[in-house]
Amino acid sequence: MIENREVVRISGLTVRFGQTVVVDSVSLSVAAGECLAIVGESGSGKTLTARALLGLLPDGASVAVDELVIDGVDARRYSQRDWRRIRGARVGLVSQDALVSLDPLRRVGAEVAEVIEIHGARGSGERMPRAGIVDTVTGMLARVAVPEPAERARQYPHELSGGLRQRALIASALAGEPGVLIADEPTTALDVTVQAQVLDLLAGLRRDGLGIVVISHDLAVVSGLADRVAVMKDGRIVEEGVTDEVLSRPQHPYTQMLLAAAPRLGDGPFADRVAARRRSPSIEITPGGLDTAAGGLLDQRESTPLLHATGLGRDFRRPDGSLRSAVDDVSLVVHAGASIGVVGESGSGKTTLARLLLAFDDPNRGSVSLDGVEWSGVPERRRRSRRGDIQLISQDPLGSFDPRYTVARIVAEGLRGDARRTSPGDRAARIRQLLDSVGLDASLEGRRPHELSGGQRQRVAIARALASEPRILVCDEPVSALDVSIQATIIDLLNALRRDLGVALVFVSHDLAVVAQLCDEVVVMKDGRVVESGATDRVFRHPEHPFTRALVAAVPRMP
Amino acid sequence: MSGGLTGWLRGRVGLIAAVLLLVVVAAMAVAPWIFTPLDPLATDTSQVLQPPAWGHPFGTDQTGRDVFTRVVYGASYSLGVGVGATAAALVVGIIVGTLAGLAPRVIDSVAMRGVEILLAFPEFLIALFAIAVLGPGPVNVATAVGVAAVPAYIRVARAETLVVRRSGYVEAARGLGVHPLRVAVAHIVPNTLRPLGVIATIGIGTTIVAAAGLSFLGLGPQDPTPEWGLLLSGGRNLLGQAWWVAFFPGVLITLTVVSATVVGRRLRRAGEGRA
Repeated sequence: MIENREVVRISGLTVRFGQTVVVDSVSLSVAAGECLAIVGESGSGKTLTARALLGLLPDGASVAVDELVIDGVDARRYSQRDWRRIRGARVGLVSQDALVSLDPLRRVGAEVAEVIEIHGARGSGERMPRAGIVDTVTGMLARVAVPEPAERARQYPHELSGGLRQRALIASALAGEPGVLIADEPTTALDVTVQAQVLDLLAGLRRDGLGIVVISHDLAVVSGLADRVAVMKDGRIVEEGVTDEVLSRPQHPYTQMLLAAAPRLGDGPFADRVAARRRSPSIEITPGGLDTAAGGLLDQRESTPLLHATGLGRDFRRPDGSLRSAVDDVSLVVHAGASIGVVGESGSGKTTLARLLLAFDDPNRGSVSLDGVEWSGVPERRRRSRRGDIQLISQDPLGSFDPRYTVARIVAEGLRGDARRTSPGDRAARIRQLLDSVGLDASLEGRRPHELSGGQRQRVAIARALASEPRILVCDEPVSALDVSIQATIIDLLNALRRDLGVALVFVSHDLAVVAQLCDEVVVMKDGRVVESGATDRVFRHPEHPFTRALVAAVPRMP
Repeated sequence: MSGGLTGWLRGRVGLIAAVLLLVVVAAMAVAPWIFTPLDPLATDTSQVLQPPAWGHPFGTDQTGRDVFTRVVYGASYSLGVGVGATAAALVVGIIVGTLAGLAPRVIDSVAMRGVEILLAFPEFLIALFAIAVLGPGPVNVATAVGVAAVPAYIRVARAETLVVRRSGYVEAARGLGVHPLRVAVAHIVPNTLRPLGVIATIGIGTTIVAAAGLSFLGLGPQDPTPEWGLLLSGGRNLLGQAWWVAFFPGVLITLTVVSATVVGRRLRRAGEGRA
């Protein structure tokens, strides 16, 4: 039976950089028509393991392996030249970012054709006539469900959407008819609805008999695709088994932690934990905080919203001179202590809206008021002293830090008013207190941004924002660059800030599950407009607008 | 770890030689008397045009002055002009470039068109023009060479400013309500310095050549003064009979400029690696 033919067999793979072991005696196998998922957080060695299957380990890596069979050939002693012969022909690679992987100056068809020209038709090594190549390329693009393949083949990568680019990349990986496809985070850069389509495509290829190794940080993404899952941590496979088994009865504590940390729609350990936190009475209210249970305050909040956007519109000029509304007629009311999620796919105007709320950009139409006072369209010098009231937590904390500054200096920049003018000793104490409030050790004070981990950087960014005692935090994809376990801790932190300090949150995210855990209300955006809004539970459980329904349906779910 | 040391040395020999040479030239400029006991201006009619020998390693010139001593004392002029003019050009470039980068687009455009007009002329021509306006003399040579170098620094400073200005940390500072002047001083200028420092290191070499060129044409310091360009021009007519008079100053100009360029390029590569 062809179904049982092994296309990848690797045992005792160890990769070292100098003295450091980054992949430690990893063994795995994949049969034709089977999909194996390697799941782990950054630094787990999952990508290096995948690269070893392609002979693409970086310089300076030393490799030891007992067995390395790829699509029937023993590749243990392969030179770079040998690898070039089988890459594309026996093993194909699909990487995370198609825009980077595709040559921007080459038409999509040429990208696919190149593989055929190198490896010949069906990987036979025989040269193919020109017309035959064109037909094969069109066939390949059609096979990965690219609409109008003949036309698309003549387009450049930037003319295609993210999903089509990823399909084109898969087509070029398949053009040499390899027996194995290595997909490294194939959907991470994609919108959730597009992600669902690409996952469907991969599942179809697997049914056609392709062996697939998919690398991902996201258990939910691979749960619907993979037959088996291998969980990696610190270079070792800590758990491996049939997907349903691993997800429903994880044996290793690390797998259990990963599952618990992953935010998901509906119920789950994470949702339970957050729900428990929300139910717990607010006992740690500090000066300036608001008791959400106090009726008097509630009334007051009803009368003057903290942040009020009405009929916001922001146009950008396209290269051809026509106008495109990135945000169109969006109204938003944020009361003190509220938490509002803004969800939508890339290009839906979420980030533009966030920038308008922060007055980093002024709207073409409509206005924003902060605390009842005009906030948009006023001169910057009138905004400056009020800027501390509304702070941004961005997706890229590293980029938001001056690379020359130490942690202490970064946080100090957020201090304002009396806190800024106080004695150096008091200021240092205040900085230490801020770092402590975001769960950072004072010993990090002297570090520079690049010496911190991703989670630590985001905490420093939050500490800096808190330094100015803001009343609203606008969070733009604050956790999407972080590992799930770190994500969970940052979400916990934001939840605690809201509960203990009464800071309102405007939480912009493409990740519905995260929003569901953190926000009471949600606003769904599409093409710059709000298509649906309301209480989070209601919108996600009973979506009314077809787009919201599609969005909710596309979220990968664990069995 | 001895293997590691040789490995480290390999490919760095040129860099080490360049750094050593620059250190020696800098020492000559600061304290010439430790290299030679002689007076660069002292003539000795009994020792005219002597070829290189033990007492006069670089030989003597037509008035019996020790060429080695004159080359050593000349370092202070050449390096002084090179470093001084580059530093001045750097400071002016940073101020103008940063302001242009932060100014409204109209002002920026006008300033940049002006800079482009200056860049359209060869640097040396601009320096010559400046000398024609200012008149000859050592300080004027430095000024002229500096003026010629400024447009390039303005351009780089402006380009870096535009990059840093759009960076996340400048937006973050703005979001914290930091005054724009403070943002410029605390964030923008310091973060544009690294690439500017690198091109300035390479620029020192160019400036030395330009200054020596002006002196060679007789527009800089006048005869008894030991200046490399002037030494070269003085020896030019003697090349047939006494090659050493022009040869050694020429070699030193070349080595200094090449060294400055080698070090500058190395710094640039290090900077790129970090980014």
